[in-house]
Amino acid sequence: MHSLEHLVTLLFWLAVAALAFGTMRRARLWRAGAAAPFSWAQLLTVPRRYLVDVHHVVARDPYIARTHMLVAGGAVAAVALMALNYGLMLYSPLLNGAIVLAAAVMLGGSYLVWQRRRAPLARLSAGPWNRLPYTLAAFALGLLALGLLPAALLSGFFAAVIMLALLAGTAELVLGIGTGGPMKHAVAGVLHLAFHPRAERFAARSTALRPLDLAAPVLGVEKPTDFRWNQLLGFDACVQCGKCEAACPAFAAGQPLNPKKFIQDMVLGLASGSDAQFTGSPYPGITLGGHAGAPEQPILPALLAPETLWSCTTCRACVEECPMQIEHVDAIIDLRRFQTLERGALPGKAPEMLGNLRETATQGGYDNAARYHWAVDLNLRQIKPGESVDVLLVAGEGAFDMRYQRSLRALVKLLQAAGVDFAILGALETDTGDTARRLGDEATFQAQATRLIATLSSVKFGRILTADPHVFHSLRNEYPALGGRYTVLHHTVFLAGLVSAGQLKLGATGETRPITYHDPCYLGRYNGETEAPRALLRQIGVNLTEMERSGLRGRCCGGGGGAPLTDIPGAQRIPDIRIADARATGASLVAVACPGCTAMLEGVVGPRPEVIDVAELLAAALEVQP
Amino acid sequence: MSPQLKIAALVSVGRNPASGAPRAARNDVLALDAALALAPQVSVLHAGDAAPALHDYLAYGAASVEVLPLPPEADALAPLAARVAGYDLILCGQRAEAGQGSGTLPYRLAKALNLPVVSAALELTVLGDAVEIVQFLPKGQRRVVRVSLPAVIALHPLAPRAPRYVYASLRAGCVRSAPAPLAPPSPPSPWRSEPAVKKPQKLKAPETRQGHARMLGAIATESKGGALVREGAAAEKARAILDYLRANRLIGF
Repeated sequence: MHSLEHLVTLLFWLAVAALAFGTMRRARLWRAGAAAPFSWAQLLTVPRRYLVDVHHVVARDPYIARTHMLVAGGAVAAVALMALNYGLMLYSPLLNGAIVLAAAVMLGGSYLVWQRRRAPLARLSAGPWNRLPYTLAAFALGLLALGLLPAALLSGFFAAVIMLALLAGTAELVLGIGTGGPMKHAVAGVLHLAFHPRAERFAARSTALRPLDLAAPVLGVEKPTDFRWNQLLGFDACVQCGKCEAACPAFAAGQPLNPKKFIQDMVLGLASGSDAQFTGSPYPGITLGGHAGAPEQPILPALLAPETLWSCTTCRACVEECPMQIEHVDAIIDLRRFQTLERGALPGKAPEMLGNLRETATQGGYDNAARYHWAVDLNLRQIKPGESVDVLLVAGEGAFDMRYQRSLRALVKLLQAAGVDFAILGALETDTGDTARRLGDEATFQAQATRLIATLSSVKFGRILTADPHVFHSLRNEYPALGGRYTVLHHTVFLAGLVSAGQLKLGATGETRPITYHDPCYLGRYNGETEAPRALLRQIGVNLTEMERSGLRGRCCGGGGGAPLTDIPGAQRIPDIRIADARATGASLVAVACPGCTAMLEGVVGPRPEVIDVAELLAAALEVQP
Repeated sequence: MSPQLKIAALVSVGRNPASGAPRAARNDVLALDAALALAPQVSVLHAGDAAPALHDYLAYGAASVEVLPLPPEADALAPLAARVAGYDLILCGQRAEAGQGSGTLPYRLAKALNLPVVSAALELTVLGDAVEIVQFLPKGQRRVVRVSLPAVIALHPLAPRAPRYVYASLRAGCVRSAPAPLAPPSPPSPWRSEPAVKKPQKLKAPETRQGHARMLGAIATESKGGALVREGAAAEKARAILDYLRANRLIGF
């Protein structure tokens, strides 16, 4: 018996050595990436990030949350106790009992994993992931047998079987990190949480892109080693659960993008390999096996097709769903920056739009003096340099769209009814450059931002009000890094404030049709504002029917990230899917709060619910018409 | 493609039609792009000021832009002709977006250098010591012409090229001024410029009659309607005109 216990001790320390060796081996791949701040103290943040932030996402699916709690909790407890009892050669029966308990918990969890994998969801990966319930169960059973069966009963044969089961389970647990197996996620996941490339997200909602140093030797990411090392580490944390795939609007529309496959392709890039062995859903329309990469090889087009890169709407649905807190959109933008700034290789109408921005400071190439033509009869005050006002209205590119001009006029009507002291910039207003930034053109973005910041600092104002969530996000979250710090409000938030302050008196809406509300990604997911528009709609007596995907988990309209410009073909259009979501609720009116969403949803052909901005619904319900 | 081909691309400063902002002239960008497709080394020449908009040509692939200093209003012909003498191929856009934009430069340059000139080029292929050009003709027609090198070729604005704007190449390139003009500028053109006058627009009452009535009206010999006001004070006549304009909704007040 003693020999068996010593054998387990030997196995334990061998396993620790294998784990350490594998981790070092993998870490060498990560360290090939570009520099990023590092401190061991960041490891102390892991428990909180794991138990709060990760759990917050995982708990949306209670089954898998419980399953992981049992498996991982049981395994960690068992291994810790093993370290005590066998690692330190205590061989105490009491500790053995505790190990048995932990192993039983783990075995229960393994059973749940097995249940889940009997009829796997389409988003899950097969291959090595399918053996996981068996290897985990083998480890748990081995520990159970070791602790429960009296030594007297253990024949040589039994001991060998137990040792084999333990060996199989231990191999799965400790060799994953070195060989890129499923259990890689345990080590990479913990380190990823500690050294997360966007650590701000654990303090508050963080969605702003990092400014790019335009003097850097290479702009953006060309090859895997151009990513920062902690981004590479982040890719390795992926558990291939496919929640991003299920949430991705481009994937649903049959465009050649799958966020899960994208992250796995980046892993192939950092570890060298071909995607022939990938066992999840491929990019729609692109067969597996045609792509391969290596750390020093350009990612496009050998590892990733350009169509995949330009399909992303930057809606962040994948990031919102990712239990491992991976930043898919940041990686997409890094790759786009290289393609745009170093190659000028943008598809569709994107180059034309960027040229327009550089030459006219409008996306459509319009005469900037025409930006406020829709307001010519509204007697708006146009602010001049040196003057001051409480609220500065920034219309954005929607001001050139005849459809959105109706929403802007409704907003002005509400502001005038509430007696708000507001003004417009008129012909001084220029584009924020937001769309250029999503397309990776950081140079044009920074030029536009610098110009707008100079304009904004020539006038005095208390707050900026805008009806465009993209302008809102850009000014609020991305301008501070370039020196523009403002209080920025989206019109729904501002109007909700006016209503609760009693400044804006609204009656009941005359609208009797069933209504649903579509959350703009750049208002909801990017800024967490989901309540104000709903509160306003409730205020005027709307009985809102929610779509299946709403609020922070709303589905994109397809208009973000310059996707309407790059216009990558798919099986269907994203706005068609969103309108189908709305139809499923029985709604015949979709309330919106974004010029992009309005244009995309109104572009759906055939009979469809009417698309009306929240401001228009409110203006129609004004108690005292001005 | 012959490696020893000496190619010059002539570029000008254009202007955006909506904002008037200076930019790389679209047509000249096509000429530059066509030149870069033929040879990696292209002399990109601009006669005039070292305007910031010239940096756009760097983004479109020029390694550098050489500025031949020229006093404002002076004719660029002589300095350009002196600079490009000896080149195999001189490419430019058909017409500048700003300034006179007469479109005569390629012809005058060819005449000064005693070279053949081909205008409205869509595609060009170098074949030994000749160049074959697909030329634009109206109504979708195309014509293939062949000229011997050296030659001056003006690109058509609809040439099927997709120039790429690359910020990194803008950052890497430079705009430099030639130390001294090779030849004195030609005397300013005798053309006189004056502000354009907006032509008055004739207000026409919208036709409200149905088709049959209009047809009858077209063959009728009597008066087409309206009233002749000969008598009365000027104010009354003005009133009659104002009433007519209002009745036909030609003015909104």
